[in-house]
Amino acid sequence: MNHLFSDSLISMDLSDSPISKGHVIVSPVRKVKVLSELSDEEISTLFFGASYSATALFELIGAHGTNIFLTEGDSKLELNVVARKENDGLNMLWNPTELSSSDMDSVFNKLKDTVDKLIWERDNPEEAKKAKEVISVKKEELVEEKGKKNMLFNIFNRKP
Amino acid sequence: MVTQEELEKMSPEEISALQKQNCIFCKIISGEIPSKKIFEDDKIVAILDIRPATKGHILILPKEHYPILPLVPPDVFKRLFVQTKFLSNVLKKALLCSSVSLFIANGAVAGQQSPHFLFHLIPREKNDDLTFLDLPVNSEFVSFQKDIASSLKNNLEIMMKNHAKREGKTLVPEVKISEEERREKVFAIIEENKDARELLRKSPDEFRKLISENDDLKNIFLGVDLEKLSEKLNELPEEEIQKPKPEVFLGSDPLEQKNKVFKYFDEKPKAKELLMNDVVSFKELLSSRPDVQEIFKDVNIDKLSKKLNEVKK
Repeated sequence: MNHLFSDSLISMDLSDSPISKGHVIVSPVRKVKVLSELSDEEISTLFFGASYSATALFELIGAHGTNIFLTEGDSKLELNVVARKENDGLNMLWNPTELSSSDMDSVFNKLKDTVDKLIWERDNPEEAKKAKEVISVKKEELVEEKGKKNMLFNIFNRKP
Repeated sequence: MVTQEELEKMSPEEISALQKQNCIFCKIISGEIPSKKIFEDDKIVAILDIRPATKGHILILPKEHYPILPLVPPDVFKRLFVQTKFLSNVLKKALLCSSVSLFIANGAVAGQQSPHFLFHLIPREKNDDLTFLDLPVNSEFVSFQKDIASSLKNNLEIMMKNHAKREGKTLVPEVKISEEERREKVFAIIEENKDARELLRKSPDEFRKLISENDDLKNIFLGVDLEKLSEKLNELPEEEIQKPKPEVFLGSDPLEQKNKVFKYFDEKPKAKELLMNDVVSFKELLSSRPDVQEIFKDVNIDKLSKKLNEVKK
């Protein structure tokens, strides 16, 4: 890979497997697989690096636009910066999923509830810890109860 | 309605003001147009995409109108991506998806459809049928990549240097140390320095300022989530941290063992020197001297040698 830049947080290289003329890979120095493992400083610098790469591609090779994207996976996190030109043959469009309004409502409620829960946990760490303990005790009780039921079930089903 | 003629006479500022006035996302943010807002703070907002690539696909955007990413001011820029970490967690917890994709389009050619900068965070499953980011590699482009390498390198170096200056930082060169080494060093600093530990407990921000003044410390704490570390420290009682870890003196009374060993070293400084410089020969010495062997019973010889060398440094 043609190395472009690195500091203590991020590294920038030209891709060995380019999908367009002007394809830069920006990655964190640390081996991280998911976004949430990055520190605030790392994630900001990663995207600043991507944004500067996009600007450099625009200025140097006259890109008409750029795409910046990543997918978390099993290997190290990598951000792709891809130069785009008119009629370059790349298609980065998806077919929208048709969701009914009740499906949309249900997804919205799930996400909104999770946002509220995570913010509450962050703002009330003590209470959140206690709540988690209570839940784990309840779970243990459930498992125990299930175990007893299974035992009874086995006794009744024992063949002579 | 603005005519083509009027539009041609407008300055770039006037065109941008007009775009803002007609921006559908500005209207969504102000509440003029309804949307499914899942998160907002003072600078950014996240809404459900009404034409999702997968269920739970969200759009993250600044509240102020900026047409493209390079025009987003640094404070808003940082907030957008720092909150992306939180929102990626939200998607995974709420929808139990295995990962996320993030997608930004700069410019109409790249697929930007809105005049208000935004990006997509899309829940993903292994083997889902979303293929828009699986693009064919073209090996013919490799030589082009080589041709632009040196000028791109120059540009990026200047940009990153200026970025560091704007942030009030100096560029810290990459230091190749393994994650394990980093962990060990971080824990050693926390264990050995009560003042630093207290500062980190009370204020991760102040601690960050302190380490930013020293290049070595800055390197050691690179990428370490200080807020999380501070939180963990606050969960641990002080005695737990100060208690020496049983890694060198493994007997039932480590303190007594330590005293014995150091008394022996006081008497025989040459033996200490041997241990520091040549562990193998020291072990040979032990096997030939049962009396000395007794002193070093249940002592991790390799670790002790390493520790002594560290202290000397």
